[in-house]
Amino acid sequence: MKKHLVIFAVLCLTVLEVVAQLPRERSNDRQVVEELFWAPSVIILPSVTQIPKGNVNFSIQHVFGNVSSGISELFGLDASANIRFGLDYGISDQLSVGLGRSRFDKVVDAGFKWNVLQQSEAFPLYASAIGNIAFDTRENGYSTSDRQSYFVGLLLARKVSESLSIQLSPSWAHFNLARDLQVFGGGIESEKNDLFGLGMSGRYALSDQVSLMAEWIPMLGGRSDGSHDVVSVGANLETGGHVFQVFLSTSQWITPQYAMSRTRDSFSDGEVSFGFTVHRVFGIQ
Amino acid sequence: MKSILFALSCLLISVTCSAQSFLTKDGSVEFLSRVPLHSFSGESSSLNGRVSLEEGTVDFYIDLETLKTGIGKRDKDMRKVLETKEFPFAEFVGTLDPAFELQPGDSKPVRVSGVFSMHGIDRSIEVEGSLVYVEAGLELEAAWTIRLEDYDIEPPRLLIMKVDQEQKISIRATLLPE
Repeated sequence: MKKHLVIFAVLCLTVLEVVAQLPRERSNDRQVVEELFWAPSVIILPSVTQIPKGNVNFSIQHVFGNVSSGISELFGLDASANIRFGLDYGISDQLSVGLGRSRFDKVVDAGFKWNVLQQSEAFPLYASAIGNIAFDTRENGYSTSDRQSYFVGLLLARKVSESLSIQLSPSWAHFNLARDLQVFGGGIESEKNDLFGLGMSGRYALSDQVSLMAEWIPMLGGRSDGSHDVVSVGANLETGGHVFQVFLSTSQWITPQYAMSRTRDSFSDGEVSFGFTVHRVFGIQ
Repeated sequence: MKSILFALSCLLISVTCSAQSFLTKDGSVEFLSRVPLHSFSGESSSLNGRVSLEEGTVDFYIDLETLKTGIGKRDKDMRKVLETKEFPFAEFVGTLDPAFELQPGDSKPVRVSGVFSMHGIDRSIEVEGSLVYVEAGLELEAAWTIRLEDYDIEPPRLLIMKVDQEQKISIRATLLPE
């Protein structure tokens, strides 16, 4: 009798286990660390932040004239501004392509960003490959080849804490045509065909809506005559759907290879321009 | 010998007990949110659940990080608002009122009383839906409305507009025999 009771108890426990509440199991969908940066670009350089699959990011970038021009030029706002319109599309959650058009030199650029590795509990950082090809579309008699320039880079980024993200961007820029420019005073300044830079970027979140960002692209090896490193500082404002970026930058050029080659303002001399970017994401699926 | 027969009898009883139990791991959930002049929905096809007709119990849960609204940025914001790292699941555990049996081909409107839990808050609710016993198993549809404030969730803002407090939730699943 005792034996029967034991068997009955064991089987009852088995049945109870069958009918108990389902064990709660996490989906593996979202192990990836997100929101290292709030927009697909830091300021001039792209960030590892990707456009999700089936989404379109529309961006409007403005960089005005030099702030040091003073009140008579309304601190650069009266000057000729560089403007870029950009559209980026997420082919997958790891791969996006983009198209843009800048006012300066009427540059049209097409590029891609591929997040090869993503930060997660299993891996400590993001590694993304980026590249673009740009065309100078002015009517200036240049050959098709001379109009072309390229930018290739690797983005290595890590979200160090909920507030702080950092990114290192070894980059290569190539211009098929290196121009020699006559400058005031009679000298000649030469641009480089190939430029190498090591972009360093950071973002520090002050709240869920506001973060600060900084970017520096020191050149490795030679640089175009008269050019300076790109240095930019700014702030992000996240409004749920839009990301507004306001910044001060030594570069009026927005396409990275042009910024690396043609930034003529020096941060240490206080030569910076005011700019802003608006990002808006749309779902089209 | 007697013991073996007794054990087999008990096992048969337990098998019979689970004969009207059904499971899903890929049911769908949809929610509808409204902001002034605009609405958006989110969905997931990772609804896990179990319905036992003989026990009259219902148990469903979803990992909130599987919800997608079609815009990645909005998904990230939603996960932030729902604090999914700390509270990953929305779940409903309830009882069919009253318990009943279904035969293949039967369909029946049902009312389930239970507890819906989200964001660390438990609330008693009643849900109405329907069950259809089809060849593959049990087809379930149900819908209800929650208020975000009941679950201590601050409605997110889209620019200056706040997402409405009321969220319509609907679930649909084909549960297979356990």
